[in-house]
Amino acid sequence: MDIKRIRLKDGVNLTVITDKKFKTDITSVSFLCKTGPEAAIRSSLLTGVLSRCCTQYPSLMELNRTLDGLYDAQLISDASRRGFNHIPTFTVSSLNNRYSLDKTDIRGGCLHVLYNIIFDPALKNGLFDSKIIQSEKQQLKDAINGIRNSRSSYALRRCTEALMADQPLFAPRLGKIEDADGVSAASLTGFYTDMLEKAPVEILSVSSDDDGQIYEFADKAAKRLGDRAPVKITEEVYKEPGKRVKRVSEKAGISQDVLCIGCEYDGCSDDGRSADRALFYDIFFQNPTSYLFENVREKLSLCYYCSALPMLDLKKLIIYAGIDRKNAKRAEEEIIKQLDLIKNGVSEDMIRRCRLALKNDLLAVADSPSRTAAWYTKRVLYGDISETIEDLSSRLDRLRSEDVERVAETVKPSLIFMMKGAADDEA
Amino acid sequence: MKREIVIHKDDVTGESCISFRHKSGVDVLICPNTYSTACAVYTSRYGGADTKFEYDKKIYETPSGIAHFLEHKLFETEDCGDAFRLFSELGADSNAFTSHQATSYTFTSSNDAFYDSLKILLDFVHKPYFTDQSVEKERGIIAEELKMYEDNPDNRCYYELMRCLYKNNAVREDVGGTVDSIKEITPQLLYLCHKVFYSPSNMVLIIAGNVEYDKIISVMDEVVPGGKYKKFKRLSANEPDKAYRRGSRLYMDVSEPLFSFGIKDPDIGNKRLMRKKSVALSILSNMLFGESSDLYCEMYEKGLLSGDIDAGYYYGDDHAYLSVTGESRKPYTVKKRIYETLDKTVADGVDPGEFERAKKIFYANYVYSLQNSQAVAYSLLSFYQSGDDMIKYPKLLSGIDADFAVKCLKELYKKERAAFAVVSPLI
Repeated sequence: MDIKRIRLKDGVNLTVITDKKFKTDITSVSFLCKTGPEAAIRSSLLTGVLSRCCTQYPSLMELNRTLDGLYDAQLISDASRRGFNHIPTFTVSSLNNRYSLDKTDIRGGCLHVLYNIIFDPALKNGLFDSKIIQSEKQQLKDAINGIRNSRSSYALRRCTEALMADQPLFAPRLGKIEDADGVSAASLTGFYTDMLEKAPVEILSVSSDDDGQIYEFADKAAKRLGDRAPVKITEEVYKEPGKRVKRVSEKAGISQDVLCIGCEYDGCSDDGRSADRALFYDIFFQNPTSYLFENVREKLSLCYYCSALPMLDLKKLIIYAGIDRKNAKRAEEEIIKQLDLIKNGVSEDMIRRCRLALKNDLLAVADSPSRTAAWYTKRVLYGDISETIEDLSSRLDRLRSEDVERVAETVKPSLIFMMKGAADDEA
Repeated sequence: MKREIVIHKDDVTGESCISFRHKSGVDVLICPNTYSTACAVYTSRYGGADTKFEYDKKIYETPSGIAHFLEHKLFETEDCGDAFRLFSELGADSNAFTSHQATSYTFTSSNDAFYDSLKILLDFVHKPYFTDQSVEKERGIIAEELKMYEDNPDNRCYYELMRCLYKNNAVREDVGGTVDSIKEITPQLLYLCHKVFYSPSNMVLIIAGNVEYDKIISVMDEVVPGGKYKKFKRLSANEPDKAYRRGSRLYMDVSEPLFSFGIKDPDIGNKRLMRKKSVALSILSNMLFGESSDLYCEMYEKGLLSGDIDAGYYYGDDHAYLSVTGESRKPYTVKKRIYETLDKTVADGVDPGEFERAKKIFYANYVYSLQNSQAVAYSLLSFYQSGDDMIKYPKLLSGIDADFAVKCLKELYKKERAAFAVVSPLI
């Protein structure tokens, strides 16, 4: 795997990753936008509006059929969040040209679509079409409401919102429904113009060969972008939890309750401890021999799933499980007991097994273009790609129990959130 | 017995596959590659729909969910350990899954740990160990898993459609059974089903990775049990050609309605033709209802469809159907448009150029499935279960045209075979 990082302008960078074994090409352009609820809703609405059509492909059908003709190229516009920043990312993923059956230049076609989607939107009198905005608002509202259909995802979202209730800069990844109606054609176009003028930009390419087309694309993009301040993500500041753990519950029409244990979680994305954290995650909840899987599920039969969602950028970690109401208290106690056990030390045998599992998984990351792209996207957004997959793998070799204990010590429960079903509320 | 080894090569993608029958009776497929990880899948042709069978001159009717229960329990070993831990000693990532047709056990490991991991896989699957206590413990975990699926609207909508289309076929029951049906499962029943369905001649081993044929044979010779096994016979229920019910509506805590349209295909006798028909009808349904279709783009722009729509043709040993699923605030308007589209296609045919464009999507999906060892192994399994050769897929695809696809649709499409299931928000 070959990795190149090129500064195109101040605050505009290109990262090119090539590996002969990849069969697909992935190119993404990410804009690191502002913080706050207003930016959240505009960022997610913008991804919908821009990927709906553009001057060259003025309807959804024309755009989708063009992508089909490029061997089912996938255009993915996604609004993500890192810390308090909202990040519209436009990605095109396709087969490598060597798999073209009819000499179609798939790579060139995809980069052409990507450029046009971002830089040549369909405007009316200098503004986005209000009809398209209205239609995409509805899609966005449906998507936000639709999270409710996945019970654990919805419980995690509600628990995160409860944990971040006192933080005015925080907004969910897609924004809040109630903010959507306030977005006008003028304000969304203004957000877009501002994004092109000021937001730090990261272009990432993962492909099998360094054929020059990505450099042409990046140069052309850079011509549309001026110098700007470099990437700086605003993260939450760690807060020591109060002595009393808060309790919140919410009703839903479900047959299985979802228990979420919200925790304060200390650490920084660039503190050099990513290997320590990866090992802690594997030992605590990821591995089939992890503390949560082996004890809460296998030994005590308290649940089918019991896992955790670390959100280091928000300084939060949520442990969650689908449980029967009568087991809620026992599950909560057992989960916290398992966390405490790790704080008191982990066997060398456990560390050896989880280290091996992680190293194997890193081999799988390097085999996969999409996982490689995800790995480096996360790092480029923090402005640092110095940690390669191989680096993390070799750092795992040096970790001991005390490194894992140190991470576990930074996880402190502060909120018990229950998504409760229709069963009688006795517990 | 002499092993007949068949080597297939696809000149379009350069992929190759070796297939043979091991002396024990296990079918083996190997797809060599140069990835850093290797994957093996060991599958019994025993799934959730195999609830009635004849064995040793007796007819058995077992509770639904037993194949899935067996999948959970086989990981437990006689010395109170479990196979997860054995895999974990090697850093291999193991898992298992059950469908209506089959139960699969799998691992992905580094190339170095592959043969030792393979030994574990082939060993534990043939060594059942159940006690009253361990079965009772697993019942609790599985009950929680079933409740989790009960809360999943997509899953509920799918089964609503199956229960509309089929009157007697076991595909109308959840693969995992119900909380009540799994209460009937005992260690004795599990031992019986293992003896009947886990004989080597009812198994297939699929491998993708940087592996050596001789070493695989050596592990198989050492671990896979020999001996003679009695044959069994699957007993399928008689199933009318017509849909059992034309529609159903279920109410759940969902944000907006989900719909699932299906047409039951009673013409499933010719297995060779099934594969070609399946691909042709999947391409056609994608073209008529997928994201580039007139129907999708029109409904999306009117705000009547949210997110993606899935359309395809699916089949197993004793059932086949075409389905279109999605989310819409006006599901019955979508239903009307689906019927109009089908009527028009049967009457007028389709544009051959558009059909060829849609074919590119299926070729691309085939190449996407070759992206890493796990994806290749899962894809090989899927083709094997359909009685087909993955490597020959590009050739199969090139031999399908619009006329053939429309002919298949004409034979399939009878209104009395169709059904429409909806999951609506609670009133």
